[in-house]
Amino acid sequence: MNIFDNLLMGFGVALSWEALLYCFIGVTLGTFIGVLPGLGPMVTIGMLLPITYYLDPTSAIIMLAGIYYGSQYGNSTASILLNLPGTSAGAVTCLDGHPLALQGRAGSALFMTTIASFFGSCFGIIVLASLAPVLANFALQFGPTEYFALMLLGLIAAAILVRDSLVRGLVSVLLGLLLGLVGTDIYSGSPRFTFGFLKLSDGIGLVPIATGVFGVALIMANAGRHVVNGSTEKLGWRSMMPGPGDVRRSILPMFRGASIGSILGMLPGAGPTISTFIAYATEKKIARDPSRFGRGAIEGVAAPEASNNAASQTGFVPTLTLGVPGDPVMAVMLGALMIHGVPPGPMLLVDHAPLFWGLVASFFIGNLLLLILNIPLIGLWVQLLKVPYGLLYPMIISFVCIGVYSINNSVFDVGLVMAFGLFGYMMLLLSIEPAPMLLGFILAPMIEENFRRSLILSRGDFMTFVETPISGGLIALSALLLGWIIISDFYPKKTQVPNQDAGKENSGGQD
Amino acid sequence: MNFSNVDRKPRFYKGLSARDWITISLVAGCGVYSMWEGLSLDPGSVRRIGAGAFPFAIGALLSIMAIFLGLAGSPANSADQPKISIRGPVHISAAMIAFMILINPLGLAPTIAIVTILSASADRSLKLRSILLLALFASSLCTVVFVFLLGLPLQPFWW
Repeated sequence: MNIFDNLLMGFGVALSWEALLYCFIGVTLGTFIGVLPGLGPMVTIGMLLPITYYLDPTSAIIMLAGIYYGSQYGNSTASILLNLPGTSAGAVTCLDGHPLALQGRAGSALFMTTIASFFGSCFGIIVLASLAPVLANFALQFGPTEYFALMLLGLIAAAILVRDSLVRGLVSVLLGLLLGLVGTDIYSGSPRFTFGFLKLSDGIGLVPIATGVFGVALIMANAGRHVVNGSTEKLGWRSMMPGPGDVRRSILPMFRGASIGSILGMLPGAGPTISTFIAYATEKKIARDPSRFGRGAIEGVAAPEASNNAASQTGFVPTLTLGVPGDPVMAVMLGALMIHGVPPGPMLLVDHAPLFWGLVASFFIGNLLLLILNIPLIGLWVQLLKVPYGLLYPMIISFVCIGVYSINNSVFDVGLVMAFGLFGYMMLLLSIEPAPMLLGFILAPMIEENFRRSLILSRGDFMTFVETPISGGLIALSALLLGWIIISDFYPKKTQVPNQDAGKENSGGQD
Repeated sequence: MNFSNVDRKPRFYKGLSARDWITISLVAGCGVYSMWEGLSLDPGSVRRIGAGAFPFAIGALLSIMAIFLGLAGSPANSADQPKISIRGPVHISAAMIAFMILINPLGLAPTIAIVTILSASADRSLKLRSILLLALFASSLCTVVFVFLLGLPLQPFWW
């Protein structure tokens, strides 16, 4: 079967009424939470995970994925209009998007971001559809040493790309690894870090950690604090039409942004947020007049938007074909698949072909829906931003409690969410980014199992990790990455990166 | 995410704030505890690594990181680190504890009303009337959505 037959089969799945409905729900909800500062895809997916138990796996994953890429559309709206990024991937869009809005060109900026987002997504989907089968074949040669090396690379990349501080990133990853070890050791059966709680012997669930650290912690930080909502102008159809110069100037940046996003999306640990920074820096570097950036250059909006959307599509490549998630949201998605009894990995494309190709086809449909939905709805999103936070967060807390409780009918899980909320709030106060921790948490059992299995197979010979070309190469890459970042930390030089003043008042950066 | 620190010079042991010391001691504490837990488990051998090896190794790395945290000094964004707020965490925790205690004896609708009141009262700008209205709205919405539409096995009331 070639790619077109596969896609045809996928559209057969994705065009069923049920799939269309859940795709629609997913992308609408995604746009909504992308617009709202402080509520990221992470929190929403965490909250909806329990509800997806009642759906079939394909609908569930289509809806969850819709939330993820839908939020990438939504976050540009709040960034441009209010200078408040809805999610961390929107922070870069603030830099040039908000100045455009101040110049009275908000409409055309929003229009261009929607077009750029759509273009980036389609680019990413094509990369996903063409590369996933190739990578899946390649992944069949992966043994435990290769998996170990790949996950090591992912963890190091996650730690350093947070980029606030290498040490703090590593602390976050290590804390995550530690949390991932809670439970029963798979080889010996001895309980570890259970503190005498029988409930902990199965390990900590993904949902309590994700909802606690990302959702509840932010609410704890923001509750009772006044979130200033800016006043917004009326947006008519006429003001949305971009001028011919805007379109012409955006074509190449969109293309470059989408390419950068597609590549970075596939690397473990990188993901949409990082890709927006790199896309922006690239545009600024190659521009004839870099001083225009930061004052409302349309390229500075189009390129990052194209790149974060492309990255959120290609992020599915390692998640689905290797079973190794690239970023925390992907990690939750992986968890969702496993909950539904669909093991991600190279065999997914063979054993669950309708699911995979249905998902890819639903990406096309979802993005088309987003394109149609977004432009008329921009005015509505703006209104929604005016709902006071004080009325919103008590509802979110109620949803979190019910959602988590209903997974196992266990109040213990609600207590865990609260504990992780406090923990996450503390991390926020101590400037430790929580995202690498979640990746560490997800990968901990896998990385330990593969490490130990490799040594059992090699009879205790550590050389096994560098002997095969794939794992040796990955380990070398990890070492280079770590070395490069340490050196660049200690021998700093002026680099062309955006000085991010935008959106500092918003603590909803870590979704 | 803060990119403005790329061209900062590395600082050694300068200006560690109280918050940095707390970070360092917490990280070191986690590291030492984890090493201790690792030692109490079977370390195994190189050929067959036991349950204790990973906790010990991660604990050791965390302890080393605690030292590096001290060497690296305050984070670049230390000026705009968020202020500590007691109200938010206390109210939200109280609301979640109330949920844990009340969900079984009281049922969903009254529990959600109480959870909403407790968490909403963290926001001083809300008047009592709007809090009560919000509680009514939240508990009816949750009951309709979760019990009637999604059919979760939850009792709406205690009878």
